[in-house]
Amino acid sequence: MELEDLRKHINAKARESYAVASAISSSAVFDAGSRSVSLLDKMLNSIRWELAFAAAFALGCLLVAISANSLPVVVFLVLLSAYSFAFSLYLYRLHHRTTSHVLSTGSIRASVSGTIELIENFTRLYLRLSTSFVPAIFVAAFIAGLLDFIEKGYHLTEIPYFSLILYSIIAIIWILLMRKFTNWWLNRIYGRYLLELKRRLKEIDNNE
Amino acid sequence: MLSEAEFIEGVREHENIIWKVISVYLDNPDEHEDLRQEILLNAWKGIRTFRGESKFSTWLYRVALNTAITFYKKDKKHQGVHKSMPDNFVEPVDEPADHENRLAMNEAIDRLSTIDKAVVMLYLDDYSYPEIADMLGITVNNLAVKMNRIKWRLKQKIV
Repeated sequence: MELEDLRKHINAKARESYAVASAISSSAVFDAGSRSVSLLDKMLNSIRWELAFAAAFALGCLLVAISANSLPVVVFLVLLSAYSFAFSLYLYRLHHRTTSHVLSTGSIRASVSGTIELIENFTRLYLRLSTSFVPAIFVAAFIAGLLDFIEKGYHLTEIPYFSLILYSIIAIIWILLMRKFTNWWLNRIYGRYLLELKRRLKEIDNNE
Repeated sequence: MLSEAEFIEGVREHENIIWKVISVYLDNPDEHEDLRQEILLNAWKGIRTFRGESKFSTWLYRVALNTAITFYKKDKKHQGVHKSMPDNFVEPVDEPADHENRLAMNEAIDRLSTIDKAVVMLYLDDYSYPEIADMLGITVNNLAVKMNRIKWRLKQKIV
């Protein structure tokens, strides 16, 4: 039997069977309030939570900064707030792009390559932003510390350089560990899915 | 754009498409409902993209295939894989020999790759080459080469 014979057979008879299969399936078209279980929707949910957290954090830092008396504390909080605000703007853009993609009903190739692009962008930028959050805190704390130092009447030449070097070493180690952990975590969540999608895209394009 | 009632009616009428796609791509029957819900949710969310230029069944096929091919659940073992063509592709039975042949064909199709299975499914459903190529996002020439290769592979597997 060849594919052509099977097609003729199906066209002649199988529609009756499909009717039976359709009748077996649930009478309700879809349950109201049902939730998506796909990884893409979980990604979308994760973006929503992070967006809410980043926006709340930015606002919280700003509110505390307004009522703070110490200049170093105000600078520290304003820097963190600005960083979180920029992060939330980016997350909003990413959310918008992800939603548009989830709604896409283009070709299979466009859908697969779009999903790959979306996840790669998400993981790449998530990695960059989450790892840059630690140095942002360190830099903000350093600036705040420096202002505090000057405010107390010390001269810049009196900076304890050993403490500064130690501070930098701790910052670098923390940043590297954070990056490694985030990378591992993202790979654990999306790595296999990405590989699978790339294999399918190759399958679509490959004609050998 | 379709109204909610028209959408529900359209889905009811063509639910066999969803069922077929699920049967091809999911192995575990416990997860069929998850993918079905996912397809329906995506169809409902994307209803504004349906402008009546193509048939509703073609549009739904596209949504179902897109969802199934990119479907992945983190908390369970990955599905999106390999299940034979729906059993009813080989039913009803005419003669035992024919039935045997169709079962062999069914098993051969089952061993095809994810994308090749989608091509076969659309071909068996009588979609034209330009329609299949459009759904896949490749050229008709590319599809023709793919189709020849699939037919050759199926022949090899059956022989």
